[in-house]
Amino acid sequence: MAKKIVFIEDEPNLQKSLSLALKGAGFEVFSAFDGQEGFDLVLKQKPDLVLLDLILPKMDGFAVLEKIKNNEQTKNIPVIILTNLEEADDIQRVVDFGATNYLIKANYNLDDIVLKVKSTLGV
Amino acid sequence: MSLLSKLAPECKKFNVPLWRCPSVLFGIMGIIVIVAILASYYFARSYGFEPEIQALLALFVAAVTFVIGHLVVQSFSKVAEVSLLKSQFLNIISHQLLTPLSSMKWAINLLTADAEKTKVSDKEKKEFLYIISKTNEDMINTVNFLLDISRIDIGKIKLNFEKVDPKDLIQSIVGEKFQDAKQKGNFLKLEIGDDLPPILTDKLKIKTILVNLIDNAIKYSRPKTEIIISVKKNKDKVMFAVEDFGVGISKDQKKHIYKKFFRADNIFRYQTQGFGLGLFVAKFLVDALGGELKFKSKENKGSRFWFYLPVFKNKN
Repeated sequence: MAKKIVFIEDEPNLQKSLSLALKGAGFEVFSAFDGQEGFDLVLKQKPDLVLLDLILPKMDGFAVLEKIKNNEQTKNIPVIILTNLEEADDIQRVVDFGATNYLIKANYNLDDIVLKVKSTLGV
Repeated sequence: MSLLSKLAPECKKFNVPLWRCPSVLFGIMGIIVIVAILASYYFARSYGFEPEIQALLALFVAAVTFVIGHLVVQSFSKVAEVSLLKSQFLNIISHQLLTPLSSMKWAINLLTADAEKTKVSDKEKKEFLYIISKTNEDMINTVNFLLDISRIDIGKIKLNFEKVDPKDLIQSIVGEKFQDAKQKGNFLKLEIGDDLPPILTDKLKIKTILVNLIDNAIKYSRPKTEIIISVKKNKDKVMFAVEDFGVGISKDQKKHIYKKFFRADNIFRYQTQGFGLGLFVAKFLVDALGGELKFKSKENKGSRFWFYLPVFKNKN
C-alpha cells in the first residue's frame, strides 16, 4: 500500500509541484494550505510522514509541530520542515520540538526532497 | 558571547557590537554617573570644601555627566536601531525573494525531469510554464519596487505628469487586484462618483500608491469583509479612498505608520509578509504628486486612507 504524506504549505505553486513529484514517486499525498487544516488532516489521516512549512496562515508551523508532537496519536509521525527561514533560532526551536529534518526549500531540487522523504521512511 | 546574549539578546541576534548596544551603553552610562558623583564628592572633601559646596558640586557633576551620557547613548541608539531595522529588512527581502525563486526552481525541475518518471501531462507542463512566467513577473515588480525605494532615498525619483482619467485608472487597478482579494476571501467594492474630471498626475506613481493601499487593506482585512475603493470629485480636486474593515491600527502605532520598515505588530509575526515600506512609499509619492495622504483608523474596526489630487486644467 502506498505510504501517506500530509504536505502543509500555503504557497499554491510549491504545493502543486512537490505534490506532483511525490505522487510520481508512488506516495499518496494529502495537501493542506494552512496550519489548522494541516493539523486536522494529520489527525484524520494518521500519515506516515508530514512535510511542514513554517510560515502559515491561521496557525504557524511551529504550533502545528508542537501539537503533532504533544498528541499521543501523532507524536511518532516523522515531520520534515520545509521552509526558507534560515535563522539558527528557528532551526533550534523545531529541533527542540522534535522535527526529524530541516530543509531550506530554495536549496533543494524536487528529486532531493523525494530522496529525503524516502530515506526517512526507509523505502 | 553568552554574556552579550544574556544582557542584550536583540544586539546578539543582529550582530550589533557590544559598544553600540543601547542596553549595554545605558549600563555603562549609569556606572560613569555614579563614579563621577563619588569622585567629585571625594575631590571636594579632600580640598576641605564646605559640606554644602560638596553636595552642590556632586549634584552639578551628576547633572552634567547624565546629560552628556544621555546624548551619547541616544545617538548610538539611533545607529543601533537603524542597523537592526536594516538586518530585519534584509531578512524579509531574502525571504520574499526565496519563496518565488523556490517555486520557479521546482517548476523547472518538473519540466526538465524525465516525463516517464514524473508522469507530468502536457497540460500540467503548460501550467508550470505559466507559473514560471507569472512568478518571474512578480519578482521583477518586487525588484522595481525596491529600486523605487532607493531612488526615494537618494532623491532621484522622476515624475511624468499627464492627463489621466480617474475612472479608467481605478477600474484597471481594481481589476488587477480583484483576484488577490478574492483569494483571501475579501471583496473589492468600487464606488465611482458622478462627473469625474480628468486629473493631472503621474499614472505609474498613482498606480503604485493605490496598489500599496489596496494590498495593505487586503493584508489586514478580516475574511469575508469588503474593501471599499472610492473616487469622487470634491471642488477642484479628486479624492481617492481605500477603506477596510480589518485589524486597524492601535493608538500608539499611529505615529509610526509612515516610517520606513514599520509593520503593525497587531499581526502575528508569521502571518503576514511584507517589506514594511508600502505606506512609506505611498506617502512619499502622494506628497510628490501634490496631495496629502490622510488616514483614520480604529483598532479592530478598520482603517480608511484617502488623498486628494488636483483636477487637470487646460492651459489655454
